[in-house]
Amino acid sequence: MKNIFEITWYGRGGLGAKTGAILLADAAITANKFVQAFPEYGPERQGAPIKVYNRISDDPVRVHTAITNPDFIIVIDPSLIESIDFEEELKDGGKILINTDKTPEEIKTKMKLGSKDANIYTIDATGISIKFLGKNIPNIPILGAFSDITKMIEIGEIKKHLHEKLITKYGQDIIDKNIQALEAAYSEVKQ
Amino acid sequence: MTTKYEALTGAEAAALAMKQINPDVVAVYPITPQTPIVMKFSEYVANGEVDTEMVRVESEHSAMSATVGAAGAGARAMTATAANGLALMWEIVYIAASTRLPIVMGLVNRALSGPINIHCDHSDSMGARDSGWIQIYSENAQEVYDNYFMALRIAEHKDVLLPVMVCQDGFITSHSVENVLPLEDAQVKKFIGKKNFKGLLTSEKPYTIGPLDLQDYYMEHKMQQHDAMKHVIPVIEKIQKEYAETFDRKYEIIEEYRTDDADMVIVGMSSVMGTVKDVIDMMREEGIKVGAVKPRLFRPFPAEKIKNVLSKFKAIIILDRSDSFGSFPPLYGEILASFFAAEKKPYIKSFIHGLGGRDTNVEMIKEVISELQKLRDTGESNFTIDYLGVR
Amino acid sequence: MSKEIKKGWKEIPIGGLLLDAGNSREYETGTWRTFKPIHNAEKCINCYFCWEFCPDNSILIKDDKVVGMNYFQCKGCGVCAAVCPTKAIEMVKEEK
Repeated sequence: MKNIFEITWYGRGGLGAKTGAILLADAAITANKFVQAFPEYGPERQGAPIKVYNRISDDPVRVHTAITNPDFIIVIDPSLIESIDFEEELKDGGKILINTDKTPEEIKTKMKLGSKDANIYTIDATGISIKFLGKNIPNIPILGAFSDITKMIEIGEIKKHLHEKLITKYGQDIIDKNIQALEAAYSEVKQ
Repeated sequence: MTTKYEALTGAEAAALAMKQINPDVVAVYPITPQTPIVMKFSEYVANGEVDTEMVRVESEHSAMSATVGAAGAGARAMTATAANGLALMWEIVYIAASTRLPIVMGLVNRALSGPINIHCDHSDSMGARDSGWIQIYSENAQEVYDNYFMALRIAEHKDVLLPVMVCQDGFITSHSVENVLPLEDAQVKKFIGKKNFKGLLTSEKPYTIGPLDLQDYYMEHKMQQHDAMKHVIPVIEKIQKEYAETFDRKYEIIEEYRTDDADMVIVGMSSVMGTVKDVIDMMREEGIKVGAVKPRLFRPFPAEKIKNVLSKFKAIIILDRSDSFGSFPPLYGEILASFFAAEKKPYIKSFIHGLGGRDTNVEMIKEVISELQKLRDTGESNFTIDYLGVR
Repeated sequence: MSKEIKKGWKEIPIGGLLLDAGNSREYETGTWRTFKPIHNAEKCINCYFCWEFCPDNSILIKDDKVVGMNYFQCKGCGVCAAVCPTKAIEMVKEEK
């Protein structure tokens, strides 16, 4: 289980955390990685808090457990901030990406970090999503920010899979707008 | 062969395998967590990517009935279900086996309530272990995919002619995206071949399926089923060998992991075994000589093989993902029975884990290994049954 | 009753399949009778009521005329006699 990069997404049903995690897995596979993307399912209800997980590795991923100690935490809905125990969960030296229009310094005061040594990044994914899509589907801008922070996944790969996966469901116009949002997010991460 | 991995869930892998098999008839009713198989396969049907006649029935009882009808008439017929769906098709599940119909059914393991639960355990398929079906259990999405093609060949083999359940863990496998290396359509087509038809049911060549069968011949037909099960293991070995030679993918009826120098092993089935392998690697770094044994086949139970494999060790712990209330958990009980006549018996202990989707995590497997060490050294907990991770 | 020699599990089709259609013709149910229908051609008007009602297809017709009963199959239920409008069928005790 060494060298597995683990990600936990905190979101709410309907914000696209699951789709985001799947797109990330798709893009990682193209980069010759082994992956997992899976949600922690309860009853599915729009708006209910959900967790989604990613594992990315150079070797086949065999472990089939929930992720309890991730390298990277994505908070796709800032209203969840105060309910997450970052101190307990995050791996030492791990990274946190939060969807908010605040700076890391501003948001830090609200987070349960304890003495945890964490790198905090923020991106106004909701703002970007509303600007380009006219509604709050922040998952794609989040992926742009993730790509910028980790350099694990090429933004071009995300674009390709975004197109492949969603073209029949949403059409070219929505895909184009998402790609604009993705690119905008890539350069707007605050650290 | 394609070398490009695809990101697929276990359910999508199952649907893709079904698409490549291109069965004549699929009759299904959706039930969590099998639903994405039905969704994806319906998409293939709607896009005209398969020639399948898809029967959208009103219940699982009808799903299995229609599948039996189609298979009985000579079609290659498939279905899929989970938990309460399997329970609802129950009487026809037995009829499919006793009518000797080579149906392949995807079974997405889910707790058979109650209290109501939609997550993984093996209580559904274990309940059907005496129904006369062959049962194959898959560790991950790749195994699910490969098992479908082998299952079809096993079911349709002239010495077998029995239905097969291809089991995968609900949500853990069915809803988790993993790397899957698919085969090309033409390769699948060549491997599965044409169905060995006894002939389609036509007015020129009529026959009767499922007639009343009473005291005079019923036992003879049961004897035939009993005998057919005896042919399954050699047939599976042959087909697994052919699969390995054709596609360079090696599967064993009983998979061993780091057992060469081990003196104790964890035995279990399906997705938990991936976690077990990882924890074994960790323990090995600490010098603990532990291995894993994963039976992929539960029906027919490979008793002789399991006895030969397990008698090498001083201690074994068996992980069952279901209970048999008032008796031995299924895998544990089968293994106990397999050892009855053996001269050399290891210490043996049972853990029931992961019921209703409870996460069997790394810490729990470490606990199992520490129990294994105690069992090996003292034998004190020999023949005990415990729940893993229960409060 | 004669002792029938039944086939073993290796000699019968699997799964309870019956491969030859219409094999109930080979099954003698005529031994079940206690009363036997006797057809009187003189009274018969060939209305076919008996043929219509017979549950075992045991009324024999030849050249559009009722010519008698298939006693290999007839169970002696008496429906034919009951529906006959001219009392052309009489149920008599089976002598054995």
